[in-house]
Amino acid sequence: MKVIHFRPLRNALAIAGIAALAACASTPLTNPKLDEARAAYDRAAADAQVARSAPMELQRAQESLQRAESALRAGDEASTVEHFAYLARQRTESAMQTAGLAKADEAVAQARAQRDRILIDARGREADQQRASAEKARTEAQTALKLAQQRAAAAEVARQEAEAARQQAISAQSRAAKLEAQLAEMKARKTDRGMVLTLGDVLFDTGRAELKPGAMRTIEQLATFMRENPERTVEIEGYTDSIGSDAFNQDLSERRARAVRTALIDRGIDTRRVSARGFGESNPVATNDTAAGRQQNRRVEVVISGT
Amino acid sequence: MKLPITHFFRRLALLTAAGAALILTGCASPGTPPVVQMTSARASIAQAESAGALQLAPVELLAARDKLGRAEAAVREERYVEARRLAEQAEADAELAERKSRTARSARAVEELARGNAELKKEIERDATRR
Repeated sequence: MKVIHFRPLRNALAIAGIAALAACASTPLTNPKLDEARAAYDRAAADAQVARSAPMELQRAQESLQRAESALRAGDEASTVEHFAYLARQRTESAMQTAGLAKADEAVAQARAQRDRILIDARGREADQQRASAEKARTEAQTALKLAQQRAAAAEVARQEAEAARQQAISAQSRAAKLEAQLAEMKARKTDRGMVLTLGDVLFDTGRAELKPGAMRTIEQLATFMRENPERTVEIEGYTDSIGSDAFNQDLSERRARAVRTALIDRGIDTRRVSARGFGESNPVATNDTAAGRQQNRRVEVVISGT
Repeated sequence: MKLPITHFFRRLALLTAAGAALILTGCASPGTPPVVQMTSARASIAQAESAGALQLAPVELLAARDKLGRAEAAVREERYVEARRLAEQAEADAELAERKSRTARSARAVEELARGNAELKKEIERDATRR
């Protein structure tokens, strides 16, 4: 209800008068709440972090504190003193909180920086590991390459050896074929003694041991064969029919064999590769009762060794 | 005719008046409601609330709200000195509540970051040994 402000004012004055009286009688110089506020302020002001981060708030706290102290000195009501002391306390606490905030923000920044360092570190290590494994892979690849190259080289050598062997086989085969062909051309027969070339009677005049010109082709063939097959040797055997004496025939067969031998030697065949023997009337190949048979028996046989 | 005791009481009245004046120092006119202080208190309370003071500094925030309410009641009953004081205290409480909330939040962030860093380190060690 709206009344003239006299009454509350008068009440206040009355109370104030008593308080002043009391103050005059014994002015209380301390107030426990103010003491607490002062102590709290002093602690905060002494803290370097607080002074640094919350100077304005400290200032406001100090102002409230000063008002509380002057109220106390003036003998004001305790409620007044304590009001300002309360403000001082709260503002001091605010200043401390602000300092704490600054500290926490610093800690946040540091923690963030640490996180970045951890990540960079990890990435660095990861990069190192990747490099190391790449290096390892590279050396492994190199080793594998070397191995492959070695294998390839070995394979090439093997191939070449196989090729050489093949070539040898082919040349051996062709040599064998050639040999066969040569022997075939010379009309050599296979016998149990080996391949035998028979030079017939027509190569010599009757009763004589000189080779006629017609024999030369065969002699040449034989000489070529022996040149191309240096491992071969020949035994030249002379034979006659039964007409005439044994002694004569023996001698004739010998001389004819030797004639063939000489012809070969004249064509450059080593003497040690050619032997000559006469067998006279022995070992006829046909009957001596017919002219044809007797002609057959009059022969020189060349036995080729190793065939 | 004035008795000596009347003289004494007159002086006493003068003293009490002076004393009263001293007590009411800082009050431009004790007869007006403390609009500025109450507006300021309301603003500080709102700031504290948006800083999360209800969770992080509930004691101070509720004290501020309570004092503001009592200040408003005092204004209605024309107890302006009391209202002004309550408003000033409400403002100081709200300010403290706001600061406390911000600090608490930052401290939590530090904790979370520290925890995160520790976990990160562990994970990286795990990965490294796995390789």
